[in-house]
Amino acid sequence: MTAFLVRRLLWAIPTLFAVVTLSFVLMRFTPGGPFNADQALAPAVLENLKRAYRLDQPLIVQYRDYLAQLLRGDLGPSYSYRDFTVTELFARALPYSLQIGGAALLLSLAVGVSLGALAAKRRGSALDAVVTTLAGLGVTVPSFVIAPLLSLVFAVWLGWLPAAGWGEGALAYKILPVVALALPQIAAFARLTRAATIEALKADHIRTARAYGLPEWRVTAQALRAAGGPVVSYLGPAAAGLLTGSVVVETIFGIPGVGRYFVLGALNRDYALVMGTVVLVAVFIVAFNVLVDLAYAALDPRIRHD
Amino acid sequence: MTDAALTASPLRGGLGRRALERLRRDPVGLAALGLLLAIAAVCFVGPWLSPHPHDRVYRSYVLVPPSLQPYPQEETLEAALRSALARGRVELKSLSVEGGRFRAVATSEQPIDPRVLRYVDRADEFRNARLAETRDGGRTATLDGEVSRVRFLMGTDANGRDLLARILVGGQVSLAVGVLATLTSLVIGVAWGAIAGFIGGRTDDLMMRTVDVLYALPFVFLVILLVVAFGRNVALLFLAIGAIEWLDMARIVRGETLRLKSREFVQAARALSVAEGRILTRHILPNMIGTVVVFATLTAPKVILLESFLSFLGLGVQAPLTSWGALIAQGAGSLQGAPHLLLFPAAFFIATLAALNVLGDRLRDAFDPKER
Repeated sequence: MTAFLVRRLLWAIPTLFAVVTLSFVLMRFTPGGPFNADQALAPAVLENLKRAYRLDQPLIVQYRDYLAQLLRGDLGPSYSYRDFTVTELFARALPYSLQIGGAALLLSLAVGVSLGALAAKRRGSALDAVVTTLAGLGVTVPSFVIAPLLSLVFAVWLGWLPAAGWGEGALAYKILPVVALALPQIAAFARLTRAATIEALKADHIRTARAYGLPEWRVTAQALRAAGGPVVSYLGPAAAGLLTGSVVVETIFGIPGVGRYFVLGALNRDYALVMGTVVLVAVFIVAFNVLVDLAYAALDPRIRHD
Repeated sequence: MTDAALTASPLRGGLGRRALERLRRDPVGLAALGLLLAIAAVCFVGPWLSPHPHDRVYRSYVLVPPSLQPYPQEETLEAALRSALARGRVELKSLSVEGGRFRAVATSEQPIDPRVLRYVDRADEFRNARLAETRDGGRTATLDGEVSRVRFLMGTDANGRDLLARILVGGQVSLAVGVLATLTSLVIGVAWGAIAGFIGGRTDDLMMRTVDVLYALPFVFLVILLVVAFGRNVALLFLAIGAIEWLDMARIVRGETLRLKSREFVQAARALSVAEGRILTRHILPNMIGTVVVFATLTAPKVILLESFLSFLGLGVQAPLTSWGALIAQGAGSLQGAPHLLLFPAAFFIATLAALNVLGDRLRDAFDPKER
């Protein structure tokens, strides 16, 4: 088990390295620079700025410096948000994204898995048809369509909820963004759970459990445990994506989270911010993939012996 | 060699024909296909029939709600003519409208310059204005001309452009992305997967580990970086999106290649000393057309989604060209006053994606050998 974990974590190193290198190269070969503002800077000022941020060094030196800096856990100063380091920006914005994303994750997991399991248990019923159709539609429609539609219905037409803003953390302000983030995931979880549970209910050990006369809810629990594999492996990337913020949902609902930083960074050629976001997301993905592997081993005893 | 190639084709034809036969008996799949074809036809033929070019700005009809009523409305005509004439320092005295024509009497302190008619024609409400007669030494004139009647079935946007025309042109962009980016991903994915699976060994290991590493990259970020790097060229945008979505295709094609490689007809071709490259292109690839087609149908909605997402962020196609994502972004910004700007593009977008997904699912079932 420990060896397995160590091997997984070791695999993460070349992956992270590749991500950092590729993003670094792409970003630096992008036309324009961080100081191409609307009004042109005097050449001398530009020179000084470049020297201050060490952008006058050869690319390979900058790359080496960045890696060294990254190993010390320093993401560097932001180019567009002057006076802030990237770490400070994340420290301020990440709590918002974590709150919204975490709530969306729990909601989608609870609702999605229950709906999927129910549909699988009553396969062919009207409930099953409704869940299947809605889930099909839900995975089709992206959040950048769902979010404004929700806002239109519940904020503009019905006036039940505020349209945007954080509102000092009041619950009413969080409902729409959480639902907008969760809906596509609910659909995905419902689909996966339904398919996996139908498959699991056919397995031999379920027939054995029934033959022993176990109550139906315990049989279902057994099937759900076996069906957990696909759900858990989808959960990893989904959780990483939800917790690191969505640029669409944060923009539409005016939430000051980290989701916006990558797009803003790329547009402003804020090299440090872009690289920082890439590293942040990659670390989340790697971490959740390791967690997924652990959960897999917990759900399915056969994997532990590999 | 011809014989060897022919042995493969009845199987392929049989598979494809049987799949099409199954699809023909599937009302849901056919409905999805029909809806998709209808949307494509409307998007590509519609603009030819529409009276509104997608980039024509009607200053007088900004944010008009969707309706069947023609514009201009009668009661707005007088103010419109008055302000048009005022630009030429001419004052409107009276206006009468009958059928599609108007007749107006105007005065000025100076003799009226016929060039004032240009101001009238330039207004969205009137056309073919002319001076019918002048009196009073040219200081009083009777103008007549036609009232230019237009309809905006889906209303207009904040710049006064016809929304329907923009949705149709945006649909062309979205559908073109769907086809071209899918083809790009198909070419890269099939080549990569087939070569890795066919050669096997270390090459296979190296190629598939590369795919693994690419999988781990935050891909939305990469595509945003690619788009920012390549500038705002539409063709490059298509390529960048296609170049992002080929990984799944490569994995599936590799699996199929491994499966087919060990089949008897491949061994037979080998025994007849058919060149390796020919075995791959003539015997292995044609046998996975079904799988590839199905997977391409499922890739198309993904790439359309990606393009719309980029356009939503303002990184996709640039004005005056548009796409569904860009239109939805504009709609999302004007929920309060003009919900039609969101609802109509979203309806087209959702219908297309849903039809593509349903069609892909149904085709997969139709091609599934277990279902036969």
